[in-house]
Amino acid sequence: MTAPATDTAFWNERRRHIRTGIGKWLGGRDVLVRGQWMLRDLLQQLNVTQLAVLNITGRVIDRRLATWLEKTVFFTSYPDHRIWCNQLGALAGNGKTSPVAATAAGILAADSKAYGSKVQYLTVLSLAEMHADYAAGTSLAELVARFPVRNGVPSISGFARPVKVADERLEPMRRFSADLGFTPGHYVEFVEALAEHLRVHHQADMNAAAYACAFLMDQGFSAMEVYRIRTADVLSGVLACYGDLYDCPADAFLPQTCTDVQYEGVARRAVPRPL
Amino acid sequence: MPLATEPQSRADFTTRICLESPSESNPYIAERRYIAGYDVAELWRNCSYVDALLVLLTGELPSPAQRRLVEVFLIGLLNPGPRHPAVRAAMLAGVSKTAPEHLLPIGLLTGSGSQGGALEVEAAHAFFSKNLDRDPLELADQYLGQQRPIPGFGTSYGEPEPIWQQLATDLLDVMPDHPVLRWCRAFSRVLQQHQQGWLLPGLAAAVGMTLGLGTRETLGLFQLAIAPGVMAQGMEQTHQPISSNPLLRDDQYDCASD
Repeated sequence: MTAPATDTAFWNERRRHIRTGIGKWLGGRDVLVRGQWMLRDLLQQLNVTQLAVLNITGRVIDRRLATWLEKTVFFTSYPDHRIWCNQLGALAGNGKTSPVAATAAGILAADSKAYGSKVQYLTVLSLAEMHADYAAGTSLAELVARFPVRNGVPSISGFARPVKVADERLEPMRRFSADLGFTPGHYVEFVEALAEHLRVHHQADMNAAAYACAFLMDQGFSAMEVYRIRTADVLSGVLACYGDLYDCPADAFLPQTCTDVQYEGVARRAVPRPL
Repeated sequence: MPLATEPQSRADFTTRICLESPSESNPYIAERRYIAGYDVAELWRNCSYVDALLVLLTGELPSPAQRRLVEVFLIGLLNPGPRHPAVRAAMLAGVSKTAPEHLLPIGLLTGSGSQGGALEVEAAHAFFSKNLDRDPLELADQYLGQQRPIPGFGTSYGEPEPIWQQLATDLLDVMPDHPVLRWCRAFSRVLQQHQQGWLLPGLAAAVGMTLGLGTRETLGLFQLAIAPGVMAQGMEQTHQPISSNPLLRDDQYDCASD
């Protein structure tokens, strides 16, 4: 007896056929982007950040918000070799990789729970949950008490900042947000209140990620949209460090002696024979 | 007894895997390199690649059964096939004249996700770790009854893919009395009665668990295992003209706002 045939209609419909609402290149004519004509209309109407957000989210944002997003990239791509993704850029440059490989490595490195794009995704998720509970009546002290304490401060995504090392990006970010005509929304007001609580009670503060994420939440972006918009933020800093080392001789970037790496494993031993 | 390197105020890194003893004439070059205490030169003279790999991953030389388990696993995953997303990505990049040194990373990145990729290996490993002390039959019934997805198990295109079921059988037969594999066998048998089967990430997670590897190391072992196929199939395509993989025609591409 033969087994009944599996219904493969779902895959048959998609085999060698694409159905999408994202866009389509119409060779020799124009390109559809979310239902709008790229060359006829969008080329004149949008800047590159607006186009990127349209491609990523389907939303046409106004120029003020596009400018805000561009300005915040100033804070996420410092050309400092010590930052992890930039170290990769420098190592890649010193190895004369292609700039694309270096950038891809740096962007991947910044897909991190500690910094970069992923931490912003996690921060939005965390803020959304905390804000919902706060709105339902949970106190700030109760919210903070849910998080473990690390290095003496509550470990809250976007708030892991000791008060003695103020985040130099916060004030400029608040200032240009105001200069662009934005007023604090519910989420920004919430993170400001939480930061004040942390300063008073825990010698802690928020960092720029919490503020920026709250701002984007006020603008209606989801956690995944923020993750996607922020994916390549570290690009220019990585390439700066890459270029700095590109023409250097081999092993010029932070050379290490054998003992700069400390071994903590088992002692030397012979391979038993016969194996 | 740990063997410390020369005392210093701060190391760049610490590692339990590798010791490099410096040359007397130059501290930047290594006279010898040790993996988990074994001189790597002794390993290449006396061991197989799988032996050395297991020293690297577990810190110890394998038992004959562990060696065989990993050999079967590595051959089984050597090339997950040209339709596997990781391999397909490398092939697509290869035929489109992407710089060849990028093909392997491209494939591994594409195959890193939580739906069939490295992150599903992580999820399956976590699932096994959490549930190994539970009765596999009850657990399987519970998940099936609630129609909850089980990381590492399911169907491909509507059915369990036979080749992975065969690989699972052969892997489980290598160490039939190992508690992890015994649990997996019982769990998967219940699923099979409901047309669910092993997926590649589940197999990788089971092997990693059996070797005593952690979640992240198991994820990495999966990536390592599929790498040869990703690389070879990708490189092969670099020799093909770009026109050998033509774009779909306009009538094969419907845009909602077309």
